[in-house]
Amino acid sequence: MTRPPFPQWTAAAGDAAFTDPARIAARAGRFERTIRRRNLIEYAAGGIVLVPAALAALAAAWIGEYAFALALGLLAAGIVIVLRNLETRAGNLERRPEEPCIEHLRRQYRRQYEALRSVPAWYIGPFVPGLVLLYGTVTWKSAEALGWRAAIEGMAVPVFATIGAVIAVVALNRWAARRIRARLDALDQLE
Amino acid sequence: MEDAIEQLYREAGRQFAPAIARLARTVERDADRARDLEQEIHCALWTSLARFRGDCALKTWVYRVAHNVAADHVARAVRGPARVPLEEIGELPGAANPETEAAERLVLDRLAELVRRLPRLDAQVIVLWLEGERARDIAEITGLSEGAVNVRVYRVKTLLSSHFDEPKSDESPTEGVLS
Repeated sequence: MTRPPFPQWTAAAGDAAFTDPARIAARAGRFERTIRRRNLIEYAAGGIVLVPAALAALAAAWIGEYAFALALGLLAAGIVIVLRNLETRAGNLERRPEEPCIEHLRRQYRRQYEALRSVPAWYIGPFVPGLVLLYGTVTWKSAEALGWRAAIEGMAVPVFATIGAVIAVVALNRWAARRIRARLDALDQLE
Repeated sequence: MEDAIEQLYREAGRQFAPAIARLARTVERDADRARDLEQEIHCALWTSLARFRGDCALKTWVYRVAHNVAADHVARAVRGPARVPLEEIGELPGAANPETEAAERLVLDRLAELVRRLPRLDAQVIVLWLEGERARDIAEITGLSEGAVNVRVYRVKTLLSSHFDEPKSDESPTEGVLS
Protein backbone atom coordinates (compact mmCIF):
# COMPACT_ATOMS: atom_id res chain seq x y z
CA MET A 1 0.00 0.00 0.00
CA THR A 2 1.21 3.51 -0.80
CA ARG A 3 -0.09 6.90 0.25
CA PRO A 4 -3.71 7.15 -0.93
CA PRO A 5 -4.22 9.70 -3.72
CA PHE A 6 -7.03 11.46 -1.82
CA PRO A 7 -6.61 11.62 1.97
CA GLN A 8 -10.28 12.63 2.32
CA TRP A 9 -11.33 9.38 0.65
CA THR A 10 -9.53 7.17 3.16
CA ALA A 11 -10.47 9.44 6.07
CA ALA A 12 -14.15 8.64 5.57
CA ALA A 13 -15.78 5.88 7.65
CA GLY A 14 -12.74 5.71 9.92
CA ASP A 15 -14.88 4.50 12.83
CA ALA A 16 -16.45 1.61 10.87
CA ALA A 17 -16.23 -1.82 12.48
CA PHE A 18 -17.11 -5.35 11.47
CA THR A 19 -20.38 -6.82 12.66
CA ASP A 20 -19.96 -8.85 15.84
CA PRO A 21 -18.91 -12.46 15.02
CA ALA A 22 -21.84 -13.95 16.98
CA ARG A 23 -24.34 -11.84 15.04
CA ILE A 24 -22.68 -12.52 11.71
CA ALA A 25 -22.64 -16.29 12.38
CA ALA A 26 -26.38 -16.12 13.15
CA ARG A 27 -26.94 -14.14 9.97
CA ALA A 28 -25.00 -16.72 7.93
CA GLY A 29 -27.27 -19.42 9.41
CA ARG A 30 -30.36 -17.41 8.48
CA PHE A 31 -29.01 -17.03 4.94
CA GLU A 32 -28.62 -20.80 4.60
CA ARG A 33 -32.16 -21.34 5.90
CA THR A 34 -33.44 -18.80 3.36
CA ILE A 35 -31.72 -20.69 0.54
CA ARG A 36 -33.23 -23.99 1.73
CA ARG A 37 -36.69 -22.38 1.93
CA ARG A 38 -36.31 -20.90 -1.57
CA ASN A 39 -35.34 -24.31 -2.95
CA LEU A 40 -38.40 -25.89 -1.31
CA ILE A 41 -40.64 -23.22 -2.84
CA GLU A 42 -39.14 -23.90 -6.28
CA TYR A 43 -39.77 -27.63 -5.88
CA ALA A 44 -43.33 -26.94 -4.75
CA ALA A 45 -43.89 -24.72 -7.82
CA GLY A 46 -42.58 -27.54 -10.00
CA GLY A 47 -44.96 -29.92 -8.24
CA ILE A 48 -47.92 -27.67 -9.07
CA VAL A 49 -47.16 -28.22 -12.78
CA LEU A 50 -46.11 -31.83 -12.42
CA VAL A 51 -48.99 -33.21 -10.35
CA PRO A 52 -51.81 -32.34 -12.82
CA ALA A 53 -49.81 -33.84 -15.72
CA ALA A 54 -49.16 -37.04 -13.76
CA LEU A 55 -52.79 -37.27 -12.60
CA ALA A 56 -54.02 -36.72 -16.17
CA ALA A 57 -51.72 -39.53 -17.35
CA LEU A 58 -53.11 -41.86 -14.68
CA ALA A 59 -56.69 -40.89 -15.53
CA ALA A 60 -56.06 -41.55 -19.25
CA ALA A 61 -54.61 -44.98 -18.42
CA TRP A 62 -57.59 -45.69 -16.13
CA ILE A 63 -60.06 -45.18 -19.00
CA GLY A 64 -57.95 -47.16 -21.44
CA GLU A 65 -56.51 -44.24 -23.45
CA TYR A 66 -52.99 -45.62 -23.35
CA ALA A 67 -51.54 -43.39 -26.08
CA PHE A 68 -52.73 -40.28 -24.20
CA ALA A 69 -51.46 -41.76 -20.95
CA LEU A 70 -48.03 -42.33 -22.46
CA ALA A 71 -47.93 -38.82 -23.98
CA LEU A 72 -48.91 -37.16 -20.67
CA GLY A 73 -46.48 -39.42 -18.81
CA LEU A 74 -43.69 -38.31 -21.13
CA LEU A 75 -44.67 -34.66 -20.57
CA ALA A 76 -44.53 -35.21 -16.80
CA ALA A 77 -41.11 -36.83 -17.18
CA GLY A 78 -40.05 -33.82 -19.29
CA ILE A 79 -41.09 -31.48 -16.46
CA VAL A 80 -38.99 -33.48 -13.97
CA ILE A 81 -35.95 -33.41 -16.27
CA VAL A 82 -36.28 -29.66 -16.95
CA LEU A 83 -36.65 -28.87 -13.22
CA ARG A 84 -33.54 -30.90 -12.52
CA ASN A 85 -31.69 -29.15 -15.35
CA LEU A 86 -32.81 -25.74 -14.09
CA GLU A 87 -31.26 -26.55 -10.74
CA THR A 88 -27.96 -27.84 -12.12
CA ARG A 89 -27.46 -25.54 -15.12
CA ALA A 90 -29.17 -22.24 -14.47
CA GLY A 91 -29.29 -22.09 -10.67
CA ASN A 92 -27.09 -19.95 -8.49
CA LEU A 93 -23.36 -20.49 -8.74
CA GLU A 94 -21.55 -21.98 -5.82
CA ARG A 95 -20.44 -18.88 -3.91
CA ARG A 96 -16.66 -18.43 -4.12
CA PRO A 97 -16.22 -14.69 -3.71
CA GLU A 98 -12.56 -15.06 -2.75
CA GLU A 99 -11.47 -15.73 -6.33
CA PRO A 100 -9.86 -12.91 -8.36
CA CYS A 101 -12.54 -10.48 -9.54
CA ILE A 102 -12.05 -11.20 -13.24
CA GLU A 103 -12.31 -14.97 -12.63
CA HIS A 104 -15.47 -14.45 -10.59
CA LEU A 105 -17.05 -12.50 -13.43
CA ARG A 106 -15.78 -14.89 -16.11
CA ARG A 107 -17.22 -17.92 -14.27
CA GLN A 108 -20.63 -16.23 -14.05
CA TYR A 109 -20.60 -15.29 -17.73
CA ARG A 110 -19.40 -18.76 -18.82
CA ARG A 111 -22.15 -20.49 -16.87
CA GLN A 112 -24.82 -18.15 -18.24
CA TYR A 113 -23.45 -18.59 -21.77
CA GLU A 114 -23.50 -22.39 -21.60
CA ALA A 115 -27.00 -22.41 -20.11
CA LEU A 116 -28.41 -20.09 -22.79
CA ARG A 117 -26.60 -21.70 -25.71
CA SER A 118 -27.80 -25.19 -24.86
CA VAL A 119 -31.45 -24.28 -24.18
CA PRO A 120 -32.71 -26.58 -27.01
CA ALA A 121 -31.01 -29.58 -25.36
CA TRP A 122 -31.90 -29.09 -21.71
CA TYR A 123 -35.06 -26.94 -21.71
CA ILE A 124 -36.94 -27.76 -24.92
CA GLY A 125 -35.68 -31.25 -25.78
CA PRO A 126 -37.22 -33.03 -22.76
CA PHE A 127 -40.70 -31.85 -23.79
CA VAL A 128 -40.42 -32.93 -27.44
CA PRO A 129 -41.30 -36.67 -27.13
CA GLY A 130 -44.40 -35.93 -25.01
CA LEU A 131 -45.60 -33.10 -27.25
CA VAL A 132 -45.06 -35.07 -30.47
CA LEU A 133 -46.92 -38.06 -29.08
CA LEU A 134 -49.70 -35.85 -27.66
CA TYR A 135 -50.27 -34.00 -30.94
CA GLY A 136 -50.02 -37.27 -32.89
CA THR A 137 -52.56 -38.95 -30.64
CA VAL A 138 -55.01 -36.03 -30.81
CA THR A 139 -54.68 -36.01 -34.63
CA TRP A 140 -55.20 -39.77 -34.81
CA LYS A 141 -58.28 -39.67 -32.53
CA SER A 142 -59.72 -36.74 -34.48
CA ALA A 143 -59.10 -38.55 -37.77
CA GLU A 144 -61.13 -41.53 -36.53
CA ALA A 145 -64.12 -39.23 -36.07
CA LEU A 146 -63.63 -36.52 -38.73
CA GLY A 147 -61.24 -37.94 -41.32
CA TRP A 148 -57.55 -37.22 -41.76
CA ARG A 149 -57.93 -33.99 -43.74
CA ALA A 150 -60.11 -32.30 -41.10
CA ALA A 151 -57.93 -33.67 -38.29
CA ILE A 152 -54.73 -32.33 -39.84
CA GLU A 153 -56.35 -28.95 -40.58
CA GLY A 154 -57.53 -28.77 -36.97
CA MET A 155 -54.08 -29.48 -35.60
CA ALA A 156 -52.21 -27.15 -37.96
CA VAL A 157 -52.66 -24.03 -35.82
CA PRO A 158 -51.55 -25.51 -32.46
CA VAL A 159 -48.64 -27.37 -34.07
CA PHE A 160 -47.33 -24.33 -35.96
CA ALA A 161 -47.92 -22.11 -32.91
CA THR A 162 -45.82 -24.53 -30.82
CA ILE A 163 -43.07 -24.69 -33.43
CA GLY A 164 -43.10 -20.87 -33.69
CA ALA A 165 -42.85 -20.49 -29.92
CA VAL A 166 -39.95 -22.97 -29.79
CA ILE A 167 -38.10 -21.13 -32.58
CA ALA A 168 -38.65 -17.80 -30.79
CA VAL A 169 -37.35 -19.16 -27.46
CA VAL A 170 -34.28 -20.67 -29.13
CA ALA A 171 -33.56 -17.50 -31.14
CA LEU A 172 -33.90 -15.22 -28.08
CA ASN A 173 -31.61 -17.44 -26.02
CA ARG A 174 -29.05 -17.65 -28.84
CA TRP A 175 -29.10 -13.85 -29.10
CA ALA A 176 -28.58 -13.49 -25.34
CA ALA A 177 -25.80 -16.11 -25.48
CA ARG A 178 -24.03 -14.16 -28.25
CA ARG A 179 -24.13 -11.00 -26.11
CA ILE A 180 -22.59 -12.85 -23.17
CA ARG A 181 -19.97 -14.41 -25.47
CA ALA A 182 -19.01 -10.89 -26.57
CA ARG A 183 -18.60 -9.90 -22.90
CA LEU A 184 -16.44 -12.97 -22.29
CA ASP A 185 -14.26 -12.08 -25.28
CA ALA A 186 -13.98 -8.51 -23.98
CA LEU A 187 -12.79 -9.87 -20.62
CA ASP A 188 -10.06 -11.84 -22.37
CA GLN A 189 -8.94 -8.64 -24.07
CA LEU A 190 -8.54 -6.93 -20.69
CA GLU A 191 -5.80 -9.18 -19.35
CA MET B 1 -11.63 -24.09 13.65
CA GLU B 2 -14.35 -21.64 14.68
CA ASP B 3 -11.84 -19.84 16.92
CA ALA B 4 -9.34 -19.52 14.06
CA ILE B 5 -12.05 -18.10 11.80
CA GLU B 6 -13.11 -15.64 14.47
CA GLN B 7 -9.53 -14.55 14.96
CA LEU B 8 -9.03 -13.98 11.23
CA TYR B 9 -12.36 -12.18 11.02
CA ARG B 10 -11.44 -9.85 13.87
CA GLU B 11 -8.04 -9.18 12.30
CA ALA B 12 -9.70 -8.40 8.96
CA GLY B 13 -12.10 -6.09 10.77
CA ARG B 14 -9.28 -4.23 12.50
CA GLN B 15 -7.52 -3.61 9.21
CA PHE B 16 -10.23 -3.27 6.60
CA ALA B 17 -13.60 -2.35 8.16
CA PRO B 18 -13.35 1.31 7.07
CA ALA B 19 -12.30 0.36 3.51
CA ILE B 20 -15.26 -2.02 3.25
CA ALA B 21 -17.63 0.63 4.59
CA ARG B 22 -16.31 3.09 2.00
CA LEU B 23 -16.73 0.51 -0.76
CA ALA B 24 -20.35 -0.13 0.28
CA ARG B 25 -21.10 3.60 0.46
CA THR B 26 -19.52 4.13 -2.95
CA VAL B 27 -21.49 1.50 -4.82
CA GLU B 28 -24.73 2.16 -2.88
CA ARG B 29 -25.72 5.82 -2.51
CA ASP B 30 -28.67 4.96 -0.23
CA ALA B 31 -27.39 4.79 3.38
CA ASP B 32 -29.61 1.89 4.49
CA ARG B 33 -28.76 -0.21 1.46
CA ALA B 34 -25.09 0.60 1.91
CA ARG B 35 -25.31 -0.68 5.49
CA ASP B 36 -27.04 -3.85 4.25
CA LEU B 37 -24.33 -4.37 1.65
CA GLU B 38 -21.63 -3.83 4.27
CA GLN B 39 -23.18 -6.58 6.42
CA GLU B 40 -23.57 -8.82 3.38
CA ILE B 41 -19.83 -8.44 2.80
CA HIS B 42 -19.09 -9.20 6.48
CA CYS B 43 -21.27 -12.30 6.22
CA ALA B 44 -19.63 -13.50 2.97
CA LEU B 45 -16.22 -12.89 4.48
CA TRP B 46 -17.10 -14.84 7.63
CA THR B 47 -18.33 -17.79 5.57
CA SER B 48 -15.35 -17.66 3.17
CA LEU B 49 -12.72 -17.57 5.92
CA ALA B 50 -13.35 -21.28 6.57
CA ARG B 51 -11.60 -21.80 3.19
CA PHE B 52 -8.69 -19.44 3.87
CA ARG B 53 -5.42 -21.42 3.76
CA GLY B 54 -2.97 -18.51 3.59
CA ASP B 55 -2.28 -18.95 -0.14
CA CYS B 56 -2.61 -15.20 -0.51
CA ALA B 57 -2.42 -12.27 1.89
CA LEU B 58 -5.42 -11.64 4.13
CA LYS B 59 -5.73 -8.22 2.47
CA THR B 60 -6.04 -9.82 -0.99
CA TRP B 61 -8.65 -12.27 0.30
CA VAL B 62 -10.70 -9.58 2.05
CA TYR B 63 -10.66 -7.22 -0.93
CA ARG B 64 -11.58 -9.98 -3.37
CA VAL B 65 -14.54 -11.04 -1.25
CA ALA B 66 -15.65 -7.45 -0.69
CA HIS B 67 -15.42 -6.39 -4.32
CA ASN B 68 -17.01 -9.55 -5.72
CA VAL B 69 -19.93 -9.35 -3.26
CA ALA B 70 -20.37 -5.65 -4.01
CA ALA B 71 -20.30 -6.29 -7.77
CA ASP B 72 -22.84 -9.12 -7.45
CA HIS B 73 -25.02 -6.79 -5.35
CA VAL B 74 -24.91 -4.13 -8.08
CA ALA B 75 -25.59 -6.72 -10.78
CA ARG B 76 -28.75 -7.81 -8.92
CA ALA B 77 -30.07 -4.24 -8.75
CA VAL B 78 -32.85 -3.71 -11.25
CA ARG B 79 -32.21 -0.01 -11.74
CA GLY B 80 -29.07 2.04 -11.97
CA PRO B 81 -27.13 4.26 -14.30
CA ALA B 82 -26.08 2.84 -17.67
CA ARG B 83 -22.52 1.45 -17.51
CA VAL B 84 -19.97 3.23 -19.68
CA PRO B 85 -16.40 1.90 -20.13
CA LEU B 86 -13.69 4.13 -18.70
CA GLU B 87 -12.17 4.87 -22.10
CA GLU B 88 -15.49 6.31 -23.29
CA ILE B 89 -15.96 8.75 -20.40
CA GLY B 90 -14.88 12.28 -21.32
CA GLU B 91 -15.25 13.92 -17.92
CA LEU B 92 -16.29 13.15 -14.39
CA PRO B 93 -20.07 12.81 -14.05
CA GLY B 94 -21.94 15.35 -11.91
CA ALA B 95 -22.14 14.51 -8.22
CA ALA B 96 -25.39 13.33 -6.70
CA ASN B 97 -25.19 16.07 -4.05
CA PRO B 98 -25.09 19.56 -5.62
CA GLU B 99 -24.82 21.21 -2.18
CA THR B 100 -21.30 19.97 -1.65
CA GLU B 101 -18.91 22.87 -1.32
CA ALA B 102 -15.34 21.77 -0.68
CA ALA B 103 -13.48 21.25 -3.93
CA GLU B 104 -11.89 17.92 -3.04
CA ARG B 105 -15.12 16.66 -1.51
CA LEU B 106 -16.88 17.57 -4.71
CA VAL B 107 -14.34 15.68 -6.78
CA LEU B 108 -14.65 12.68 -4.45
CA ASP B 109 -18.43 12.74 -4.83
CA ARG B 110 -17.98 12.86 -8.58
CA LEU B 111 -15.46 10.03 -8.40
CA ALA B 112 -17.97 7.96 -6.45
CA GLU B 113 -20.56 8.72 -9.12
CA LEU B 114 -18.03 7.70 -11.77
CA VAL B 115 -17.44 4.40 -9.97
CA ARG B 116 -21.21 3.72 -9.97
CA ARG B 117 -21.30 4.17 -13.74
CA LEU B 118 -18.27 2.06 -14.65
CA PRO B 119 -18.25 -1.61 -15.66
CA ARG B 120 -17.43 -3.69 -12.59
CA LEU B 121 -13.73 -4.40 -13.24
CA ASP B 122 -12.98 -0.74 -14.02
CA ALA B 123 -14.84 0.28 -10.87
CA GLN B 124 -12.96 -2.26 -8.75
CA VAL B 125 -9.59 -0.98 -9.99
CA ILE B 126 -10.49 2.64 -9.29
CA VAL B 127 -11.78 1.99 -5.76
CA LEU B 128 -8.65 0.01 -4.89
CA TRP B 129 -6.50 2.82 -6.30
CA LEU B 130 -8.41 5.33 -4.18
CA GLU B 131 -7.63 3.14 -1.16
CA GLY B 132 -3.93 3.61 -1.98
CA GLU B 133 -3.23 0.10 -3.21
CA ARG B 134 -0.29 -0.49 -5.56
CA ALA B 135 -0.79 -1.67 -9.14
CA ARG B 136 0.78 -5.02 -8.22
CA ASP B 137 -1.69 -5.56 -5.37
CA ILE B 138 -4.65 -4.39 -7.44
CA ALA B 139 -3.59 -6.84 -10.16
CA GLU B 140 -3.48 -9.69 -7.64
CA ILE B 141 -6.89 -8.82 -6.22
CA THR B 142 -8.66 -8.34 -9.54
CA GLY B 143 -6.78 -10.85 -11.70
CA LEU B 144 -5.96 -8.17 -14.28
CA SER B 145 -2.38 -7.62 -15.44
CA GLU B 146 -0.41 -4.74 -13.93
CA GLY B 147 -0.41 -3.13 -17.35
CA ALA B 148 -4.20 -3.24 -17.56
CA VAL B 149 -4.43 -1.75 -14.06
CA ASN B 150 -1.99 1.03 -14.94
CA VAL B 151 -3.96 1.91 -18.08
CA ARG B 152 -7.15 2.29 -16.04
CA VAL B 153 -5.54 4.39 -13.34
CA TYR B 154 -3.90 6.58 -15.97
CA ARG B 155 -7.30 7.24 -17.54
CA VAL B 156 -8.76 8.30 -14.20
CA LYS B 157 -5.78 10.52 -13.51
CA THR B 158 -6.34 12.15 -16.88
CA LEU B 159 -10.01 12.67 -16.03
CA LEU B 160 -9.00 14.19 -12.69
CA SER B 161 -6.26 16.41 -14.06
CA SER B 162 -8.72 19.04 -15.19
CA HIS B 163 -9.98 19.38 -11.62
CA PHE B 164 -6.61 20.10 -9.99
CA ASP B 165 -3.73 22.49 -10.48
CA GLU B 166 -0.45 21.11 -11.73
CA PRO B 167 1.26 19.15 -8.93
CA LYS B 168 3.57 21.46 -6.98
CA SER B 169 5.35 18.94 -4.81
CA ASP B 170 5.12 15.40 -3.52
CA GLU B 171 1.79 16.44 -1.98
CA SER B 172 0.17 15.80 -5.35
CA PRO B 173 -3.04 13.85 -4.77
CA THR B 174 -2.35 11.42 -7.57
CA GLU B 175 1.34 10.95 -7.06
CA GLY B 176 3.19 7.92 -5.84
CA VAL B 177 0.55 5.32 -6.42
CA LEU B 178 1.90 3.55 -9.44
CA SER B 179 5.60 4.05 -9.34
